[in-house]
Amino acid sequence: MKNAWSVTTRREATLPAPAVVALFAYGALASLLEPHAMPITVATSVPIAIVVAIAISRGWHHRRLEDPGRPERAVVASSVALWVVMIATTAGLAYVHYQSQPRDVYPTLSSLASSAFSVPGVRAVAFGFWLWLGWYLLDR
Amino acid sequence: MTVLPADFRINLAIWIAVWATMIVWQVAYATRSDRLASFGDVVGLARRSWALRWGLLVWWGWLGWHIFVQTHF
Repeated sequence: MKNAWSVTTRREATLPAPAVVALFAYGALASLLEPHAMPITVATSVPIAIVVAIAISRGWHHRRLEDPGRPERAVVASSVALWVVMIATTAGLAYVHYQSQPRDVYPTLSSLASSAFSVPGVRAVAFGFWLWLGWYLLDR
Repeated sequence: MTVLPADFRINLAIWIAVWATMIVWQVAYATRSDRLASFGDVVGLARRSWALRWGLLVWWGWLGWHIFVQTHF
């Protein structure tokens, strides 16, 4: 039930399992490619171009988005505010670390990621997750 | 000059604490309650604004480009 302390939000859409498998399979193949080279540039650019094309085809360039018709529910407004605080904290922390040197004392998300992604399996999962996130931003 | 401690382990612990807080909140509370906002709810709300939904899309594209194309492993 909606009241002064709540906001309405749509219920989540779910991606079919075969599509999830396809995203992570693409991620696994793309993760085999070396950075700073044409193949990985293409492998990363293609999903970006597809997502932007889908966004435009769904009217993202209009001021008002069409309602996808999924049912709505009311959530407590303070829980939304809590997320805003957590996201702002992360962004602030990222900025302070980025501005600080040396990097081996003040790690950024990128420097931490480059260590973790030296493991091929981690890179494959991360690429698949990034593709899934693109779909999620489009369909949420 | 920085407000952060000059110790890699403490700075790493700060990052872990921040991410763990968000993950625990999402998994243990937000996705188990119909009344608490999940990360997805916040994304859904942000999509209602033209600037925020395109900002999210640009951020997503930059993230993939930065991590997979530009970062050395």
